[in-house]
Amino acid sequence: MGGTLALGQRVRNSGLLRFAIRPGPMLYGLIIVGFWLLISLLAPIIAPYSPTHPFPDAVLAPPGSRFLLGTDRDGLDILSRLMWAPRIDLGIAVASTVLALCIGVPVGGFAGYFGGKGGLQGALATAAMRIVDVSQAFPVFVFALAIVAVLGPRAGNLIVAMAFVNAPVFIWLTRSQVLAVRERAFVEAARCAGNSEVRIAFRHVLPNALAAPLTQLSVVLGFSVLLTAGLSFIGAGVQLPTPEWGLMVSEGASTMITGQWWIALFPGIALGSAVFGFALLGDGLRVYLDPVLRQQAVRAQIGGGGILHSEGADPSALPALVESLPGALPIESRVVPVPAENPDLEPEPAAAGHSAFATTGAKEPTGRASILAIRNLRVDFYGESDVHRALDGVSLNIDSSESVGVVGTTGSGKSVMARAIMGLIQPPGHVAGGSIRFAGREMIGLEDAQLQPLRAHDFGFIVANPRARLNPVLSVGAQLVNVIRAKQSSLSRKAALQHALDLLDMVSIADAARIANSLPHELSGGMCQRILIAMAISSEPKLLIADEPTAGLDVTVQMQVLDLIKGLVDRSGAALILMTRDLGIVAHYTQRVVVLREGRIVEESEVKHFFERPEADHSARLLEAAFASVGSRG
Amino acid sequence: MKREPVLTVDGLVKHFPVRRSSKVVHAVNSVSFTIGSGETLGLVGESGSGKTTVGRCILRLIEPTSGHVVFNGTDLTTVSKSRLRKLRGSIQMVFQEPYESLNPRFTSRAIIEENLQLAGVASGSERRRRVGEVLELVRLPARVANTYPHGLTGGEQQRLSIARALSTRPDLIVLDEPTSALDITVRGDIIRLLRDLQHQTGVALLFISHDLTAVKEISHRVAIMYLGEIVEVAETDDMFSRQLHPYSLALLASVLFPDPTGPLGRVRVAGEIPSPVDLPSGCHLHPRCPYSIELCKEQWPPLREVAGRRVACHRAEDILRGAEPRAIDEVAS
Repeated sequence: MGGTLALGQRVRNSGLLRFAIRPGPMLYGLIIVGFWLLISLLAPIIAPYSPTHPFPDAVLAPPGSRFLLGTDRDGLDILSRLMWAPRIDLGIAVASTVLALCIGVPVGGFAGYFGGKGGLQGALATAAMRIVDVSQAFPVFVFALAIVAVLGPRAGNLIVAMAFVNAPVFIWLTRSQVLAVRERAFVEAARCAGNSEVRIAFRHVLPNALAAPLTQLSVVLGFSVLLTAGLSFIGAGVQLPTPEWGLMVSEGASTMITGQWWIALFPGIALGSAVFGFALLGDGLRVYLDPVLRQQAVRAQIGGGGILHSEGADPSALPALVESLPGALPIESRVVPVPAENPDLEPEPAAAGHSAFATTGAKEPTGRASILAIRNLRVDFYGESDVHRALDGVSLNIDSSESVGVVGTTGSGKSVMARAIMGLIQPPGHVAGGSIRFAGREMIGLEDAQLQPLRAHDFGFIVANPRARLNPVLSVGAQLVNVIRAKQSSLSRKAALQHALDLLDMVSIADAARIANSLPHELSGGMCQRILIAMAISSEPKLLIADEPTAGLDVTVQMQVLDLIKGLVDRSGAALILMTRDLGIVAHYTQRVVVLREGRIVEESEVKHFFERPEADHSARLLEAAFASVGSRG
Repeated sequence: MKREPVLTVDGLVKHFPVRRSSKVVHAVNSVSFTIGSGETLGLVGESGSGKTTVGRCILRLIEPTSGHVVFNGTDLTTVSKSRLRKLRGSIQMVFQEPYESLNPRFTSRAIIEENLQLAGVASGSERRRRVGEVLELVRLPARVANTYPHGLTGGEQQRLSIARALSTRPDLIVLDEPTSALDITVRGDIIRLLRDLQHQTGVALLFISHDLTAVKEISHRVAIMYLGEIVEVAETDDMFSRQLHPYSLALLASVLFPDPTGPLGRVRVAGEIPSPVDLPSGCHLHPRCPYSIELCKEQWPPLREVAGRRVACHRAEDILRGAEPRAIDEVAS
């Protein structure tokens, strides 16, 4: 088995060894299976008697000093037989499983690689799978029984029978893996290099499809041990006096009723432990082969926990960590809103540095009312064993009817910020502190029920991948009506429908009546985004938050959507916060730029100023990259 | 800038059958172009334009429905599979997703060496030498040779991918969106690298991308595709300074330069790309076009010579003379 493993796992061989010696299912499984292997190997030396030599004077002797585990009906020593039995049980299981693997992987690989491709190979692949389907129609045990009945009950025939019933497992698994792998780009790259189809199948596809069948190996091994015992139990397997657990249990079963419990009990325990051992081994292998699970397992063992990644980690974060545990205090008590009278007060020394960000050229007091005031906002995300601070002391003012662009690379905290403003941070995320005031009203600490009217009437939220936000089985018109009526329950259905059509008209949908009757999948991505925008503006919100609203749309459609958002905002006088990676969008569609980096604002400037003289190094780098990708200015 | 053509694509058509239907997806409809030796042609289009299908047909990763792909005098659409395998060394490909296109179980060295071996470089020492050479060419440190792809960053993976393509000293590399999966800072590096490599090796490039800014940086000529057809071909500078096809105008207008004082292009096309199963009559763009006239609904405009470039539009001359587009709301209704 080690050899087979090495074939698939050449890459991480040393890793496997190191992984296996860590306490965990893999190690325990190895210990149990190894124990039985060792016992069976040493049986000739350590077994007290021959497993097949009867003691006529000691038939059905209970466990005692002469026969530690007693004797059976024929006066055979149970301990000795128990020690010899794994040779048959594990031997048959291993041999049949390896045989099944050797049949299953190539057949499954062939069926997967050539399946659906037409030609002779495609036809063969289809035929192979049909045969497998038919064989699967019989219950496994009955199928094995039938084969043994035809071939005769000998160990060799048992192996063949079980290989036959187990092979489909590997065929199915390998096939499904190969079907996935063959679509990957490196297979196409291999074809471009001039590989023949057969070479691609065996050199590039199959090795990448082996992880799942190999994981299944130990499960099938355990199952085979049971199957061997089961067949022997009903007399279709190995015959007396060969030592075999299933046979021994079967022997003991008939004497159980007369009080000789030891005959069946000990082989039963042995059988159970071996199957359990294989199951543990399989579990460990599964964890090992899944990089995510493996990382968690390793991390759990080095046992850290509560490692704060964020630079701004301060002692005050620790109580927050404790409180975040299940069953801890409700959200309100965890956050400490900054008193309104003194919005510039920074409650923690760690935040003091943040106010030093470059504000040169940032907006002067315009006399416009501030609609949104964010102060020292901190949001944490709890991982398996660490806390990631996604927003680290963000402070920002948004005036009514201004358009602000929030830029940053992936992971800078743009989306977290959008969701925090909407009050949509959910576990494992958690607002660790700070204040968000909308039109003078503190939002942090509000219950969901209190936030709901705010979200419904004052905020509009536009996100990427609009189709996923729509109910796939309801017409978009009906969904729009639902949104409208949720916001204005007094409105009649008819009036709501009229409002919906007006909204569709507002988002420049020409054929509003027809579109309203369409299901989301019948509409293009750009059209779905228009629907989402229509929903967002249905209550004439005072603040529109657009998080990468054009990601995934074609550029010509992106322009339409941006033009639309800009037009709507200009007409309604709503404020706009636009989160995006694209500096081009910011340059043309916003008035002020906020640069986020690792959860902190590193620059806040008027658009013209930002593009002429960026203050922060990070802004300069972003700009440089943007210009490098566009060539020269304009 | 007349060069000996390395690749001539002539009337390439690819239709995919639609399941349980007699209809077909018109992925590529009669596309023709040439690429000279040492030249870069940028093939631009939005999703659904058929640009990727063109690239795959050239390499015969999928079989074209009709048309010819002549590479260095050999028609690739008619050669036998075994002969094609021998030709693969001189026409290579770089894929969009760098990690996906590298076998995760091969080291960088194995990835490049396999390519060399299949291209007929039999000697092991020669292969090792070439691996070192080509890694240096793409500016990857030598230690990368013994690294598996997952140990490399996205940019390094794409460099490795380019190194693999270059290792066989090809005459042509087809690059399918080679920069769109990369971070914006890395994108510029890869473009510059490709440009330098072309200077050093004289390899011709077919640069397929929806990223106009990248195309502008690297291409000598640009071909813009819409719904399976090339609608305009011109020298890069000509194309970016002036467009004669309404779709090109709208596409170029959608490039948002990171400069708030710069002008924002005015021309828009209405709605979105229609289904390639039921193509619009006449000019495929007419339902979205702000310049369309009655003629456009009835007659399909072939690619023709206008003002030193090739355009497929009935109104190219009018646009050249400065015809005004209609407002986008009028087009939609």
